[in-house]
Amino acid sequence: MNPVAISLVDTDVHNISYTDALLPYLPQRWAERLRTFGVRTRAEADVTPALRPQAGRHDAVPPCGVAGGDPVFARRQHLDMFGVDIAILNNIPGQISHSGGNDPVVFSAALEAANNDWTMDQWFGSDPRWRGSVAIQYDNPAFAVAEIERCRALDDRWVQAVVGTRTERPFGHEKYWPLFEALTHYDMPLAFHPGGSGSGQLSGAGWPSYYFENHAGYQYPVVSQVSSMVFEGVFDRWPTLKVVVVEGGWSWVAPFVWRMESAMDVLGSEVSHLQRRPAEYLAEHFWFTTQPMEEPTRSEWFTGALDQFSRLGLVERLMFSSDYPHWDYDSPAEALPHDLPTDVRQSIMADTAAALYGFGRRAR
Amino acid sequence: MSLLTRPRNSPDRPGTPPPTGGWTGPVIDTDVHAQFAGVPALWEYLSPMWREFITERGYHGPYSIPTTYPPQALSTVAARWRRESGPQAGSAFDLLRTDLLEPGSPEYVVLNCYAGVDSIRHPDLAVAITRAVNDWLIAEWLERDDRLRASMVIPAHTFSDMVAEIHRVGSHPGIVQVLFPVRAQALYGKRNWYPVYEALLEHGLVMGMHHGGTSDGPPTACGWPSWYIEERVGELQLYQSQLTNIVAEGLFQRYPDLRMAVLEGGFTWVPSLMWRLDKDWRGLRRTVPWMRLPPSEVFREHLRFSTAPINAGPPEEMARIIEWLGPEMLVFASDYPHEHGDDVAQLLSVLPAQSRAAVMAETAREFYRLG
Repeated sequence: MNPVAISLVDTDVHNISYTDALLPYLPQRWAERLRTFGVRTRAEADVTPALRPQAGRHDAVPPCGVAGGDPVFARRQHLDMFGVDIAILNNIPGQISHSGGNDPVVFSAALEAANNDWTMDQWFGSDPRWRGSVAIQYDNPAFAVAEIERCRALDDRWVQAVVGTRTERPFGHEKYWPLFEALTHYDMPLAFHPGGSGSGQLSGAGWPSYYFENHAGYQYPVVSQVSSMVFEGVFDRWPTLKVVVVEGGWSWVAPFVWRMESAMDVLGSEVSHLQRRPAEYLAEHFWFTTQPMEEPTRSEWFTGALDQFSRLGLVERLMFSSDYPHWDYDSPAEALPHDLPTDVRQSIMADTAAALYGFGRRAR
Repeated sequence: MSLLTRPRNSPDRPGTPPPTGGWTGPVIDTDVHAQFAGVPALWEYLSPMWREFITERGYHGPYSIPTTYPPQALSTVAARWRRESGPQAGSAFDLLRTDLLEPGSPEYVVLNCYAGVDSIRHPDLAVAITRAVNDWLIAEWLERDDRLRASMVIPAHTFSDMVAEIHRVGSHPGIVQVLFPVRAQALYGKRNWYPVYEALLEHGLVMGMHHGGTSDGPPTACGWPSWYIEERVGELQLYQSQLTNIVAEGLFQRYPDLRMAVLEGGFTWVPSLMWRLDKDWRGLRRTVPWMRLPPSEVFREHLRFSTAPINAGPPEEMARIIEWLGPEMLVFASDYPHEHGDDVAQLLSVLPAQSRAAVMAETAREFYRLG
């Protein structure tokens, strides 16, 4: 049997843990704490409630009652139905409410370990197509690095680490540098996904009122993160660091690169430590995922937007993602415009992700 | 990879022509800065009590002015307008006349003063400084030249004081706008702001959202930035958050006559934002049912974006941005005396020929109701 090329990689599928799922993976002290006090870190779903529980599709709720809570259900409804070859799991509680904030760091560390153990045991253990993003306490980098090392020692299906877009400091800050050292050591990308550790506000001017704003604004903190990582000189220090912006859109990138370039023309002397231009850092270090797919006012503008993005040097930097099981899920069959050239489609649906993460061919 | 090999714009040299890109038709400049040179410039507009207060404490004025516009930074005063000594461009009408009014002959300019009163937490001092700034704008600028119009400033934390100040000076014929810094204590669609909008509507004023301000906390959703340039380009997320909130709250449905100018924030990012908001409106409309129109239509009816900073990409990409945005959304601004490396000639070259006069003057004339 000859191996065949991978034809469909999904770079954003959610597994969503819940208390009963995590209890078997927690030491007794932290299991008792979880039962008694719960998780006190503020979750954005409590501030601006989503339109459905876990923002899930109505038809994606398995018998356990939590969309994204059941690996077999998710496999049947998503991987099998569309022939997904490889899917990367981003654990929602692991990336948001369990990542720390208004909780003791040792408890958050135990919760993250439990989330990752649950993913390895229940998800990796049930199907070879799952890969995972390590859930880490990103605002406590010492704990985060230890968790990445622990997980990588146990399973090489951990392909990256996931960080909420809202952190205590913009992510180029020196505080986070140990994390970049560990990630480049393992050649693992850093993935930004909407969410946060419950430390700050949802905007730079206070709290929005509605889930519409939270959801439409998933890309806004990414602007701050990109600006920070570029101007702090992170990519000069870690020239092999790769950053994946998940669920953050991509049509904003070109105008933002021009904005950084214009600012460099006038204010570049402030950041004389930089070895390169902002546009070069973007072109060399960033990848983006598709969902929720950009929908220009006129459908014929899509090609122009993609061309504008590609001309930044971001050819083959866009990767398909479905966001299963969320309500705004993009189906692999419907996400891309049907008139997209075959080679571009193939690049987005599989090849770019396969190259980034080193996914090989699969056995037939 | 034309972007990487693009020669860096060299900051303009002294004596170069006015920044209108060779345009010879009428010009209305919607963002020209008047910046008082510290508290001493406001002295005669402060009561004896406040002069004593300031003197006793050695108070230097709002701290957010130098953090927003560091005086020595090239972005704050362009090289071509920078004086080696004495008062700097922006601080006095005579300098504006020499730098901009005489060489360029704009028909009107709209003066914007970033007063920094948002960074004053003493509520009465904030009112005193606010009143002094507005009186300074009227006496030392508006009353000097018929071509000048101005945005008034308001204290940023006490809603009733904002309303009172709008009623105090909002009917001056030179006042056309109320300035709202993009960083604020709360997003501008929130219901607490309604009395302020009712007051400015009563005086027929525009809401002008402008770079700068002070948030109750860091100015991002992920903490304090480190570098000025990092913070400056990242200010984009505040414009995005503000506009998202304003449409989500249905502000323009509540106040159908409200006009909003988005100033010194750029515009190349707006098509992408409109696409995102329209898509989410389709998906989440039942959670915000008062949003009766797609956000992009609300933008087109109520918002205008100043052209500075242009933040230009390659000309063919700028032409795409203009097509997606619609040139009717743009109003020309020099942002004097700030420096963004703007190339207005290039912007004019990518604008459809029939839109150039609108961008340079006519859209602003109608929007600001200028004669």
